Amino acid sequence: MTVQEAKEILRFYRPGTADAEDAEFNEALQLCEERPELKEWFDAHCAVYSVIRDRMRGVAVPEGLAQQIIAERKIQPPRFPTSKALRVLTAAAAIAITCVALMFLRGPAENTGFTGFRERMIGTALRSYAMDLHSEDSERIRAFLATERSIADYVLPEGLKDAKPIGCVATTWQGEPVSMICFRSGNPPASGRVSDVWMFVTATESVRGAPKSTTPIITTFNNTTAASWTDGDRTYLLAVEGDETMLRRFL
Amino acid sequence: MVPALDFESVVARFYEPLYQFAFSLTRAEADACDLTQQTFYVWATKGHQLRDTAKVKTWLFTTLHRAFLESRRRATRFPHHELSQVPTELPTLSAEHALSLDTDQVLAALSRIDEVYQAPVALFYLEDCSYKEIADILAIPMGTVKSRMSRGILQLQALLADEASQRRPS
Repeated sequence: MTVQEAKEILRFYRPGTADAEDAEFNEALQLCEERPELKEWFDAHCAVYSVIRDRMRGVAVPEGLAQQIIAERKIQPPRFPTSKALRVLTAAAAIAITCVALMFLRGPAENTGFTGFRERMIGTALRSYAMDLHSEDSERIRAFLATERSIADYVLPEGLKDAKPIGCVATTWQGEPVSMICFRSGNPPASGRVSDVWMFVTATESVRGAPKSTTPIITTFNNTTAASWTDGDRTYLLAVEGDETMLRRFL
Repeated sequence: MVPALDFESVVARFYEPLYQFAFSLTRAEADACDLTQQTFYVWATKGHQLRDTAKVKTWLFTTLHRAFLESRRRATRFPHHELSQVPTELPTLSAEHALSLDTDQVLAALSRIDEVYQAPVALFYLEDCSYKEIADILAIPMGTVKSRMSRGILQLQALLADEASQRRPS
């Protein structure tokens, strides 16, 4: 093996990983011990690798993400068959076939309908998120969303017209644009929150099973209350971190 | 016997590296959270199809990467570069210069390299996946993994060297 060949191998070497157990890497590493110029090159490679790796692993994970994932889980966890379970599963094969047939009749398991949309959007609101634009100017927010090719022709409910916006997010649902406008209710914000009132708007055709009425339908999830309605070709979801009384202030 | 896996322990074990991988691809916290959540949603609905629990990590990263690609609605296929076509010399980025850069700068540089190289390079640095696992995650041959990594690392280190040189006092 030449020095050049060793470099071609070792440029993929990652210190501190299982690469050290690989036979090809080991052969090249042995040459490092014999050739000082290769050793110098290799040490520099490892040092730069380690710094970049540390920087990339320095990305902070949002607080509460794991809890959010677990909270949003709606179906049973996957279970791997133990030998005992395997026997039960085998005996239940006929039932499973029936279940599969039922699944086909009932459509895909993934909740891509309105309830899935509502849960995803509220989930986004309740965890820490990065706003694309911080602004208290309603028209600037609207203009920004238009620039981002998100939904900008929304109509604010009367109760929201006097609320204080603080920014927006141009997000998506099933690949279609959703505008998320963030407001403050004036109540003391929960720890870590910058907003406690959120309005989402998307094209009605983007959400299967969207409400058909202009009259808001109100639902409650834990500490969050949401209203949803459709006006023209736009579907709205207004959520507050609070009860129905608080929500109705903004309708 | 195949050990049982419960949803919460899988989340606890993998949500951080998955989020970091997602963030390295999207550089947007909301998008990275969505990708991570979507990955576990798919795991909850389809993970039981996986018979080899040793492959949970690869399965999750593969699912996240697919979700990312779908979200980008990629219309063109990635070009395939043979490893022999790839130059081998790295630009002159020293560890000292690299140390002057922070996470945001490194991720910003990652976002500027050719898109096709971003996921391989992110996995090269972020995760201790074997090259076989990375090939499985990205659904490309091992040779293509290495060629993309090699080109991506060249681009990344060139950008970082440039960034570091601008930060050096004259």
